[in-house]
Amino acid sequence: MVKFSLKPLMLCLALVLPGIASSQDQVTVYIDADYTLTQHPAEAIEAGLLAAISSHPNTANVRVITIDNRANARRSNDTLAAARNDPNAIAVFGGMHSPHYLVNLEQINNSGMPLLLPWSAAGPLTRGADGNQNWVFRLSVDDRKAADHLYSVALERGCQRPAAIAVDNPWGRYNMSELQNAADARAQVLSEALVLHNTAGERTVTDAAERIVQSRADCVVLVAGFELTSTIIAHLAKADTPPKIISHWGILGGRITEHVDFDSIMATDLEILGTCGLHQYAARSIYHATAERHAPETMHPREHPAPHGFYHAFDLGRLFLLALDRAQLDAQWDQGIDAQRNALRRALHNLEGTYQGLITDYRHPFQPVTSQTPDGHEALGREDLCMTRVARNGNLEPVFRDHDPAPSDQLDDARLYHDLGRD
Amino acid sequence: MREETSVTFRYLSLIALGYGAAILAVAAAVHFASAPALETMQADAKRSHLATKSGILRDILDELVLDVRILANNPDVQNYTLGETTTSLRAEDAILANPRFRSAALFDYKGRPLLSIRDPDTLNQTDRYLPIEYVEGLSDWVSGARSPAPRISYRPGDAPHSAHFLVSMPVQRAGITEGILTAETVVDLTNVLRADGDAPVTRLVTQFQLANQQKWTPVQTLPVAMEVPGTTFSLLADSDAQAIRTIGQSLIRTAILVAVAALAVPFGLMGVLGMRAIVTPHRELHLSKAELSDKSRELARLAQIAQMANEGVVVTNLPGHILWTNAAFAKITGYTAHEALGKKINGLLHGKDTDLAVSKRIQRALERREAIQAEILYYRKNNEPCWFSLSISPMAAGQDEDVQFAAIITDITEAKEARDELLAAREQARQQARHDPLTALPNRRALDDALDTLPPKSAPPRMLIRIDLDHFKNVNDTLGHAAGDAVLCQVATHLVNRTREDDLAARVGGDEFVVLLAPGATLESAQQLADRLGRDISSEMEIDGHACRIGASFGIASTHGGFISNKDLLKSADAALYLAKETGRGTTVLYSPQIHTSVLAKRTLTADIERGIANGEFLAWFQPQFDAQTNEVVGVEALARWQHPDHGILTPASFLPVAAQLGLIPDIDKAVFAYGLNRISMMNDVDPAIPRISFNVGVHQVMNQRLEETIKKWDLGKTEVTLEVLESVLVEDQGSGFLARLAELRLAGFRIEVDDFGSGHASVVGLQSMRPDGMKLDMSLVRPIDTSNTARELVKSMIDMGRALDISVTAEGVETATHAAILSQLGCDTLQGYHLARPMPFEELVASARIGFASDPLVSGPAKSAATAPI
Repeated sequence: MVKFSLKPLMLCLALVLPGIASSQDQVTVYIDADYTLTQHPAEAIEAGLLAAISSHPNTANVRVITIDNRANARRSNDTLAAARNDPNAIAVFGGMHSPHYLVNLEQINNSGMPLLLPWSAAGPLTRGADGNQNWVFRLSVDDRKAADHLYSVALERGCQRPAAIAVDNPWGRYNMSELQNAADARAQVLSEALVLHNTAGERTVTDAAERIVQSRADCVVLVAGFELTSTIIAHLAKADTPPKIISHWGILGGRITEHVDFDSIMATDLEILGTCGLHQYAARSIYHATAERHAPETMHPREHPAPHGFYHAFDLGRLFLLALDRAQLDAQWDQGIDAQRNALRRALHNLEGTYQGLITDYRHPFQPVTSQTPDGHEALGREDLCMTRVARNGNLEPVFRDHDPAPSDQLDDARLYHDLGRD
Repeated sequence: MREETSVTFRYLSLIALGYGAAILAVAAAVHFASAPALETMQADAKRSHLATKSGILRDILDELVLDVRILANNPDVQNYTLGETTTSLRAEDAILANPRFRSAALFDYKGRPLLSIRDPDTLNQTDRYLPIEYVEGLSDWVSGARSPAPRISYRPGDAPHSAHFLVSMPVQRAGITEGILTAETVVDLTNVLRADGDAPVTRLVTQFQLANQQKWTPVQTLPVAMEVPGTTFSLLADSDAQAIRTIGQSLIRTAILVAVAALAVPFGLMGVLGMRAIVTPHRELHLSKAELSDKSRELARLAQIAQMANEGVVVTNLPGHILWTNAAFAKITGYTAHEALGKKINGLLHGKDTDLAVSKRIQRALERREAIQAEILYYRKNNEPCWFSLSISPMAAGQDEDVQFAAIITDITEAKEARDELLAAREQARQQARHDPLTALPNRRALDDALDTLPPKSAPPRMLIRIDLDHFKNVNDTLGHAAGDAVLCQVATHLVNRTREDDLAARVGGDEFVVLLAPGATLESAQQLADRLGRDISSEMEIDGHACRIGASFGIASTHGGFISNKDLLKSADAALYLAKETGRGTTVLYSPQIHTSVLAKRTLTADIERGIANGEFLAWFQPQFDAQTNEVVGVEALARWQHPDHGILTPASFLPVAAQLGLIPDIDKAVFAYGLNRISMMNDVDPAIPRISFNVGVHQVMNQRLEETIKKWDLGKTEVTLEVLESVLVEDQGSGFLARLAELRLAGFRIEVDDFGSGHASVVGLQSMRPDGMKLDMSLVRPIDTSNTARELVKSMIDMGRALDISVTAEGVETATHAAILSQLGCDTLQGYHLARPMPFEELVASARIGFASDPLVSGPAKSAATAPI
C-alpha cells in the first residue's frame, strides 16, 4: 500500500551521512497518486518531483513517500489523513484525478496541510477557500480556463458545429458546463452535448457516436478519462466523415496508440490539451536538459505518454523546494509541524521573483486567494495552455500556433540555478 | 371319463400346492436378504431428490446474486463506494429500487460501513441484521486473496419455509475490489421445500444446524444432507417418505415376481412331464378300446367309398404288385380284382406305345416315396389303348419294405384327344398367321419377326430386296381377282425357285414382296437375284387361257457401308423401290447415300411438320368468293398455310405430299379447321358479315361423328359453313355410309360442295345421287375459256347441268377480267380467283371486309391488298 521510492532514499542517505542535517530537520513529502489504473501520470509526477529534488541543493533531508490511491477517493482521503498525522510530513503532492480532492476539499482546506497539484485540473480545487484557509496550490491546467480554451481551439480549427462529450463525474460535468458557457459567450449552441458514465458499454458509446454523427457536428470536444476517450475515438473514426476531436488531457492516463489504431487517430485529427512544456523544449532546452539529467534513468519525458506530469511536477517541485528553503528560515519553523506547514504556505505565497521553469517563467506564481485574485493559487495561466498531437509511435508532439512562445537562446545550468535560486 | 378327470385333478393340485409353498419361501428370503440394499437405494433416491431441489434453489440464488451484482456495478453505488460523491442518496435510491432487498449495507475498501438500509415494513426490529462475519475477511477480498465470487449466507425465517439470504459481493472498479455490498432478502421456499406428494420432507439447514441435527431431531430415518453449491448451507431430507418406501416395495415386488416366473418353469416342466409319464399312459389305456372301435368303423367306411368311386383305385407295393383294386378298376381296365391281384401293374397294362419314359418317372417317384401325377397310355384287357391319368400317393406305413401306394386311375382318353386336336388347330393357326394363305410364302409378320431378331448392327452385311409388281392393278381390273391371285402365286413360285433355303422370301402386301437374303449375300448377288426375278416375272404367263405379262420394280437396301442399320433395311429398300417406281417401272434401284440424304431430308421435314402441328403453326388463309352478278362477297374459302418459324408462310404444295405419306393430313386439317372457325367467330361484329366459309374436308373429317359438335362449339353468327369434298373422293368407292353421312351433315345445316369438279371421273349419276349444294369447277377447265371455244362450251354445259340439278356453280382460277366476264355471262353463280382476291391472312380479311373487297370484279384489276389500301 505504501510505496517508497528507492532513489530518493538512497539520495537521502548519501546526503544525510555527512551529518549536515539532523533527523529533526527531516521533511517528508507524500505523493497521493493512482499507480494502478493510470500509472503513467503517477510515474511522471514522481519522476518530476524526484528530478526537482535531485537538481536542488540542500535536499538531503527531504524524503518522498508514495501511496497508491487506485483512483479511489476514500483511499486518497486516508492518505491525506496519514500525512496530516505524520509529524514530518510537510506537504502532499496530488495525482491525476480531481474528484478525490473535490469531494474532500473542505476537509483539505481545514487540515493545515499544503496540497500541491501538478495535474488535477478541476477549477474549484484552488478556489475552495479564501486567504489563509486555502491550502491547495496548483501548477497545471485549470479547467476554468481549459474548457474555453478547447472551445476556442475548435473555432480556430474552423469548426462550425462543435459538439461535446464529457464523463459523468464532477470533473466531466464541470467541464461540460464550462463548454456550454463558452458557447453561450459566443452566442453559439453546442450541436450535441452528451454525458457518459466512465464504464459506458459498447452499445452506449455506439449510440453516442451515432447521435454525434446525426447532429452533423464537425468537431467534438472530449472531456473524459483514458478508456472512455479511446472508445469514443474508435467509434467516431468509423463515421463517413469523422469529426475532428479536441480532447482534454484525461486521455493521457495511458498510451493511446496501444488502445486505438493510429488510422482512427488520424481520421479524427486528434488534438490533446496540455501545457506548453513540449513546445518549450527548444526554447528552454537548457532547463529541459537539466531536468532530464536529474530524472530517474527510466524517465524520458518526450517519449513518455504523460510528459506534462513530469514538467509540472518538476516546476512545482522546484517552486516547493525554493519555498521550503525559505520556510526553514522562518522564525516559527521550530514550533512544530503545523507551524512548519504554515511557514511553507507563507513561503509559497512569497515567491515574488521570476523563476525559470520548463514551461514558462514564473513571476510570483502564488499569492493568497481572494475575490480579486481567484487565480492566486494557479501558477499557470491560459497562455500556458497548448495543444499536442499523437505521433505514430505514441509520443506526443507539440502543435504550434502563431502566438506560441518561440525557441529562445539556450541558458546554461548555472544561470538556471541562479534564476531559480534568487529573486 | 370321470376317473380320468379325477386323476388329472389330483395330480395338478399337488403340483400347484408345491408351487405355492415354494413362492412363499422365496418371498420371505427376498424380503430379508434385500433389506440392506433397500436402505442404500432409498438413500440414493433421497440424494437424487435433494440434487433436484438443490438445482432449483441454486437457480433462485443465482437470480438473487445477479440482482446484487447489478447493484454492485451500479455507477451511483460505485461512485459512493469510491468516495467520488459525499452524498449517499443516489446509491440508496439505486438499492431501494429493487424491492426484493429487505436490507442492504455498503462498506468501503477497509470494511468501514458506508451505508445501511433497512426496510421497516418487512423487517422488524428483532430481526438479526448483518452479522459482522460477513465483513470479516474483507481485506482478503480487497487484496485479491479471495475470489471475487459472491458469498451467500442463510438463516431461517419466521415462517415455515421462509429463508433469509444475505449476499455479499465485492464492489469493483477495473477489476479491483474497492468495497463490499451486502444485501439481504427473504425468500419463500415453500414451493422448493414443501413435501409434495410422496416426496420426502426437505429442509434448509446451516452448517451449525447440520452438525447438531441429531440432537434436536433425534428420531430420523435415513437422514441425508447435500450442500447447496457455492454456499455454506445444506439441504436435508429427513423423513421416510411414501415415494422412498415405494422404491423398496417395488423392488421386492419385482424380485418376487421374478421368482414366481422362475419357479413356474420347473414346476410347469414337472407338471407336463408328470402328465406324460403318469397321467397320459393311464388315460390312454382308457381310450385305446374306444379308439380301436372307431378306427375300424372309419376304415370300413373308407373302403366302401373307394369301392363306390367312379375312378379306379389300385393299391400296390413298391415293386408294383397289385394288392387291392376297386370295382371301377375292373370297369376301366377290364381286369377283375381276381385277375389283377398279385400281378405287376406294368405287366398288366403296358402296351407297345406306352411311353417308357413316363413309366420310369413314375417308378423313380415311388422309390423316393413321393406322390406323382402322370398321364400315360395303357392298354385294356381287350388290348384297346387308352389314356389314363394316374395320381399315385404313398400310403402311411412303417417299414420301407412294407410301403404301399394308392393309385387313382381316371380314363382321360376322350379329353386328351380333344385337347390334342385343339393344340393342332392352334399350331395350324400360328403357321397361318405367319404365312400368306394365297401364296404360302411367309407374310409380313414373319418378315417383321425375322427383322426384329436381327441385331441392330451385324456383320456380315445383310441385303433386302423389295419387289412391287408393275401394272398388277390392270390384271385385277381386266382379268378379275382370281387371275390376279394366280399371278401372285406364279410370282411366289419364282421367288421360291430363285432364292436359297436360308433366304426369306415373303409377301408383305397386295402385290409387294420382300426377299431378306441370308448372311453372306453381296450387293452383286442381290442385284443378280433382282435381275433374274425381273426376267422371271416379266416373262409371259398364261392365266385362264389368257397370255399375260407384268413387270416388277426392285428396291435393294444393304447394311454394307454402315450408313443404314438392320432396323432400317425395310424402310430403306422401300425408299429405293419408291424411286424405282418414280424413275420408270421395271427397274432396280439400289439404296444409295443420295437416297439416304433425301430420306433424311424427308425425315427432317417430317419432324418439322410434327413440331409445327404441336406448336400450332398450321393455320388458314382466306380467299374471298364473289357473286358473279352482284360482285358482292358471298363467302371465303379457308386454305391451309404453314407459318414456318424459319421459312415464313408455306403453301400446301411444300408440305402436303410428305404430310400425306405420314398420315398427318387429319391433324393439319383439324388445325386449319379450328383456326378458320375461331377467326370467323371473331368477325361477328364486323359489318358486313362473311356470309359463308368453306373448308376442304377429307373422308376422315366427314366420317367424324363429332364434326357437327366441333363446328357448333363456335359462335359463327350468320356465317354459314360449307364443306368441300374433292371430286376424287367421291369417285373412290366410299360405300353407302359416306353418302349417308353427307346427307346427315346437310340435315345438320352445312352446305356440301364438290371441289375440283371436272378434274377426275365424277359422273353425272354420282352427282345426282349425292345431290350436293354446289360444285366448284376445277381451274384447269376455267383457265382456257378465254382462248378456247370448246372449253367455253364445256364450262357452259357444266353450268347448265348444275342448273338442271339445282346445284350452284363456283368457278375457281378466275385470273383475268375476261375470265370473270365470260363466266358471268355463262351464268356461273360464284367466282373465285387471283383476279378478284388472293388468299389473305385473317387480319387482312378483316380490314378488307371493312373497306370493301373490290369495286367491280368485272372491270377492275386484282383486289388491292388491305395492307396497302388506305384505311
